Amino acid sequence: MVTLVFARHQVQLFLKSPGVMALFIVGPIFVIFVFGQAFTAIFAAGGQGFDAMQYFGVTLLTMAVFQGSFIASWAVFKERRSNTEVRLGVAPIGRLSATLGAFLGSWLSLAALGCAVMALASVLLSIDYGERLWLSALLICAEALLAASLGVSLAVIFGEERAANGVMNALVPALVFIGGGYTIIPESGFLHELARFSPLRWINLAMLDLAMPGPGEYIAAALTFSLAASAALMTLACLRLWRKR
Amino acid sequence: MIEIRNASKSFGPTMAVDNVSLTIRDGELFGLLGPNGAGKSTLIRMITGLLAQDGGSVSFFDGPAGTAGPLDAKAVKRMIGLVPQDLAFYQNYSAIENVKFFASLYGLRGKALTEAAEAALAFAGLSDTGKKPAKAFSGGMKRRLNIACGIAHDPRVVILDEPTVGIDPQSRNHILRSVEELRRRGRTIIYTTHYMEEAENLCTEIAIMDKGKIIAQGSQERLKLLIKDSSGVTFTLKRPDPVDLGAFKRIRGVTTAKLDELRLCVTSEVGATNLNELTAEVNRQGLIVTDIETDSPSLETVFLSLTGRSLRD
Repeated sequence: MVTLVFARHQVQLFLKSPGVMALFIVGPIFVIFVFGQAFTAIFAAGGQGFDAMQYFGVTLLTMAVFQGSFIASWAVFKERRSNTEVRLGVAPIGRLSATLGAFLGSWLSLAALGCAVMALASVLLSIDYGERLWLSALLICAEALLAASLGVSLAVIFGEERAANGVMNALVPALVFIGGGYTIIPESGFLHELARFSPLRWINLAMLDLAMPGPGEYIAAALTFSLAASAALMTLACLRLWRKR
Repeated sequence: MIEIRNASKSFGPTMAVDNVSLTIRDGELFGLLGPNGAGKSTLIRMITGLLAQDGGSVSFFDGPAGTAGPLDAKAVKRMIGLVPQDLAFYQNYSAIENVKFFASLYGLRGKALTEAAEAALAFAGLSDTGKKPAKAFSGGMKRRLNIACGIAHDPRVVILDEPTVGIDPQSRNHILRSVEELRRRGRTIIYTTHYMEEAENLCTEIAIMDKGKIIAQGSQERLKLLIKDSSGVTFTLKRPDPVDLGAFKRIRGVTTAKLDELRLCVTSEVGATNLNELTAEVNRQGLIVTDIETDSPSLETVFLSLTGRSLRD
């Protein structure tokens, strides 16, 4: 029950931050538009089978959702920032329940925002996310789960906001890059092999495949990768909390 | 009852709390008085379980110690309401949202939660703040919201850590009245402050802390007795009328009475509480008084006497 209280609290706090929400929604739309326009000629010459706007409409959306890990980390550290950590420490609640609530709330917020960006990009920029939209939304939800668990677990494991954010500042852009967020990853070579380790690679491939439309061969891999990585990260966070207790 | 035995806590080479032993009885308004950095907040954190002590123990009992074993950590947490020194709530939430959230951590739900939150806000004088976010509140309102968040779940023990720091007199008075009201309702209150007037006006039992140690403990009267065995009253007369000093000396508790030009100085035993009789005698003798001074010791002078420093040094 306490977990649900904290999840609701997290969503409510997020809704009370219209600036952050607007940035999270308008930012990706703007960047998709800029990248889509800037790379039109290059994509046309490359003959990838989809235009730049379509490519970045997927990869920059998944990048934005993945960067939501910072929001999840904030969900843990906000209690310290607002001095409310003391009140929570005195209350008869477990830290694990509170952390799981922050995780759940962050996930719901990120998933909703990701889907909102997807809907807006589809309407405003005419980006095609395929006919099976629910599958694209499912992939975004799975990615949001991974982003939330990354942010929460790093916050719990490091315990210091600057340390956790430092790791995320290095990790998130790297995973976005090798996942094809900024540019198309070659079909072979070192980068191609490295890209296998980025969950974004699988999510991007699955979403582009849905938009093409393709056979949907990457959907299972993308979902499995995201859920497994998320479970592993949250297990680490729980172990850390258990040891602290 | 709360029993602290030989509790100690150090941070590196600094001994923040040094072998402190205290007993706080049910329904008591216990003042922890001391200058900034005396170790009051560290002791509070130890009492609330936020900080583990290096040595000693902090135990809560349901009634006097010895009648039953100490309460377990969860039961202790349920009975404590903390009002921390720093404002501890969400600035983007309204007053009721804040109070409801913190009260919900104690298992309150639905109608009971709403009623508890509304009662806490009424108690803090914040009923009419509506949906206004806390960040738009004045400093005094924020302090009062800080209190409302700590008492909404109706705790038996309320711990207030310097609740009146940096606020306007009106809000300060409201907070002091609220503390008195909590005491009337039978709550056990631990009140830390470095304002000796607050401790004097509010607290039934006081412990004075300095450099991590309890340097004196007891009722106000007992603390004052530590430094003084007499108290004096000086009447400044308008004109040099003849004074029957013998009549003053016969008043209960008076040890000396002397006239020094226009100043009539009467010394009494501490605790004699004979000011009414002294003024009645002044009136009886038809003396016209322009000023009255008392030199009763205050907690400030107690602290000064025990440490050689002022409370706000």
